[in-house]
Order: sequence, then structure tokens, then C-alpha cells
Amino acid sequence: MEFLFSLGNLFNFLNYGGFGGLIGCLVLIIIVLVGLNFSGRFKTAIDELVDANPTSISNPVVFTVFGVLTFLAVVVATLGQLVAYFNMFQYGFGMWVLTDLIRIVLVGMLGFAIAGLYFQPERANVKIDKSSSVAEDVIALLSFGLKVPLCFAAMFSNALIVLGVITILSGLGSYFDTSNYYGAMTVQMGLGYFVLGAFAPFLFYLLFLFLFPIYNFWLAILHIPKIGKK
Amino acid sequence: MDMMNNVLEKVDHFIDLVFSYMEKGSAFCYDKLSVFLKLAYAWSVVIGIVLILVIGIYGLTF
Repeated sequence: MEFLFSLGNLFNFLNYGGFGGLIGCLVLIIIVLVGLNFSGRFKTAIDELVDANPTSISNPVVFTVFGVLTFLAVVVATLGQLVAYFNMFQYGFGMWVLTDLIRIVLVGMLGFAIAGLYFQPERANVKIDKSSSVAEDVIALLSFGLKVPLCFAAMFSNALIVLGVITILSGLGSYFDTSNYYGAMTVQMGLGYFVLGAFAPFLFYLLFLFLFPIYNFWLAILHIPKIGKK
Repeated sequence: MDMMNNVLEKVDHFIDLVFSYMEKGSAFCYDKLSVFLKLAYAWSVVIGIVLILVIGIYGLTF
């Protein structure tokens, strides 16, 4: 969350306005379009990257347990956000009534979709292999955290873009009231989500590329005893 | 003892049922969200770019 706040600070130039602010906005649009182009190219590469890096586990029961825990955590978090949302009604109404509800539903459904991946780990190329050793099981579990954003790269990207637009819309009314700092912060955060969404598949691809090789090395060591055997 | 075992089996069966509903619910959310986000993506990009332009043009009034 702090990362997103600091990302929003990159767009402080909007508060200064003028011709420089307009140029900044045009540059931002070009950056977003370039990011979307990069991400489009990476979506196919991501599917191939997941297919090229299988891991194995002897029994998927531990993924089922994590799936249940994730599901329950998402239920609790969503209910908490809904309670906070309904409490906000005492302060008045505005665009936030619609946008905040859409945000809560969108994030909740995203959380449930991630829990779904734990129930079906084969979608992340985790093979159920009874001959899988304990070390291979541990690698499958630890590396699953890297595979989740990769499998959901397109969905995360689209969700961040939609969330960004919703956040900008919810802050826009207050933004035009120059004495309202909150509106400017909300618009900047929305822009942060929007730009992050444009680059998300590219960033997740790089994250996987730089961090997964550690597991590849361990898997290679574990396969040494199996060389030459059927 | 058999009665206790039966009770425990029924509780286990109920918990398994709850877990299977969690799995179905998660798969449902994934399917519906994928469709919605694919449809909303293009509109969101266009609306986002228009909003950035509006903010930039509004900044000219400062």
C-alpha cells in the first residue's frame, strides 16, 4: 500500500498545472500506451514461461489447505471493507458510493480467483507426481508465490487499469476543488494504479525471470540422482 | 464408539462439502472476472486516457 502511495507521488506535477502539467499528461499518455504495447507482447510469453517451468508435488492437499485459508482471509477482508464502507455513509454521499463498492467487489473477486488457483495448482503447471521428493514439494510450495502473479498477469493488469480509472473518477469531483487535498491524492493514486496496470505483465515477467532461477538450480541438483534412470 | 465415529464422519463430510463449494465459488469468480475484465479493459484504457487529458487541460487554468 505504501508503495502505491509513493507511486502516486510521482504525479505531483499535476498539482502545478500550467503548460508543463499538460505536457506531463501527454508524456504520461505515451508512457501508458507504450506500457500497454509491452504488456500485450508479454502475455503470450508469460503463458510459455509458465509451461516451460513445471514443478511437482506428491500430494496437492497442502495447496487445498492454503486455498481454504486464502478463501477465508478474503471473506474476512471483504466483510471488513464492506463494514467500513457502510460506516462511511454517516459522512455523506458522493461518487465514492459507487466507485468504492465496485472497488471492494473487484478486489474481493480477485482474491477469490487467486484462492481458486490454490485449489487447482495444475493451472500453474504444478504436476501431481507421487514420486516427487520432499525437497521438490517444498520448491513447488515456495515457487507457487512467484507463479501466482504470472498466471494472473493479464487479470491483474486489467484489474489495476479498471481500478485506476475508478479511483480517478472517485477523486475527480474533489480534485476540481483546489482547496481539497484529498481529491488530488485520490487522483494521483488512481493514476498510479493505471500506470502500474499498463506495465504489470512486463514487471511480473521480469520478477519471475530474476527470482525463479534459484528454484531451477535446486531442481537441477535434485534431478542429478535420476540421470540415466527410467 | 461407532456412534462417535459416525458423527465425526458426518462432520468431515460436511467440511469436505464446504471446501468443494469454496473451490466452485473461486472457479466461478475467476471465470466471471476474466470475462468482465476483458470487456472492461478497452473502455477503461480509453476513459483513463481521456481523464488524463481532462486533468492536463484543467491544469491550464491554474
